[in-house]
Amino acid sequence: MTYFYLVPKWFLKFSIGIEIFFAVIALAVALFAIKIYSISRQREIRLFGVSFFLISFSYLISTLINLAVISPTIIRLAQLTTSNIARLGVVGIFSYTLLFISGLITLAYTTLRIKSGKVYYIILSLGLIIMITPLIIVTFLYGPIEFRSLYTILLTFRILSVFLLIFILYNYVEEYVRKKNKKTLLVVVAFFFLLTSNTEFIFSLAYYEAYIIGHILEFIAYLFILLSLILTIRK
Amino acid sequence: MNKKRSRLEIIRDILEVIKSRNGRIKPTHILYKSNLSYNMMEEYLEELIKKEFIVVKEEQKNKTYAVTEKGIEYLNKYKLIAEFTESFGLS
Repeated sequence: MTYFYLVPKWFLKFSIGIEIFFAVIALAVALFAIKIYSISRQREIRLFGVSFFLISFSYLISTLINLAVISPTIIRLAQLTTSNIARLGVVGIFSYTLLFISGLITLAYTTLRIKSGKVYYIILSLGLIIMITPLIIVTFLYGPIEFRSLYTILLTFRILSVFLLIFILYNYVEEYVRKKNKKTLLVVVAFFFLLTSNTEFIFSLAYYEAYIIGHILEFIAYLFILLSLILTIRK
Repeated sequence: MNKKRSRLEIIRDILEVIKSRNGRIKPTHILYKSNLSYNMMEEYLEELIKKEFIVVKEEQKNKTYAVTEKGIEYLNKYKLIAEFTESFGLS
């Protein structure tokens, strides 16, 4: 997601392209999972597909909002004022974070192998409450949602993402140690890069270089996911 | 010692057993061939009926099971399913 003035202009268009790539990879994994689910009818495969659908949509929303915000044509056509652009940015980032967190929570829940749907809804609700509460507090203290809220949303989002990714990575490492499957190792590496990229993104709130490094790490993560998917389909 | 079978492998084994008997097999044979406890077998059969992988037929107080088209598709695509679930840690 673009953090407006924190991101160098030369990287802005590049980051949009890279996020479309993430969205496509996540969507490909989701569609393949749904295909496998339609044959196997295994609940965990469906959940896995749903988690990647949510992650894919989060990137799509991020891309659309970024395009709208930086495109002079769209700004002119929609007659957006500076404050409207800022609000659109906040709403976009908030939608992106909620979808991405929901995707990670669904994925983490899938790795738990619990059958109870109630547990899923409790974890999901808790995650969303954690995301929404700081925003409500900031809005209450400083007035309507504006640019300042971005930092609160993003910091909460990144910390929660890192926490969930540590958990997901731990589960994949355990799975690899148990099965010694090379393709699982690729997924382990992918989630390791996703974890490091999200950790890096925390610092991007202060240094834009971290935002660029974070994107590169995230790009590597999705390359590994793609590789694992290709090797699975090819067999 | 044999490694513990995954859920997907057990489903495959049950379907294979039913299919090998031309789609007409009694529960006792499934129990014997699938190497499961009675309760586990009942649980799996219930799940397979719910997923429409097998159908149950009752003839003269005898229960027999047959594999459906969906069950056959599962067996045909089993390798792909297993590959996917193992790669993404879902097995």
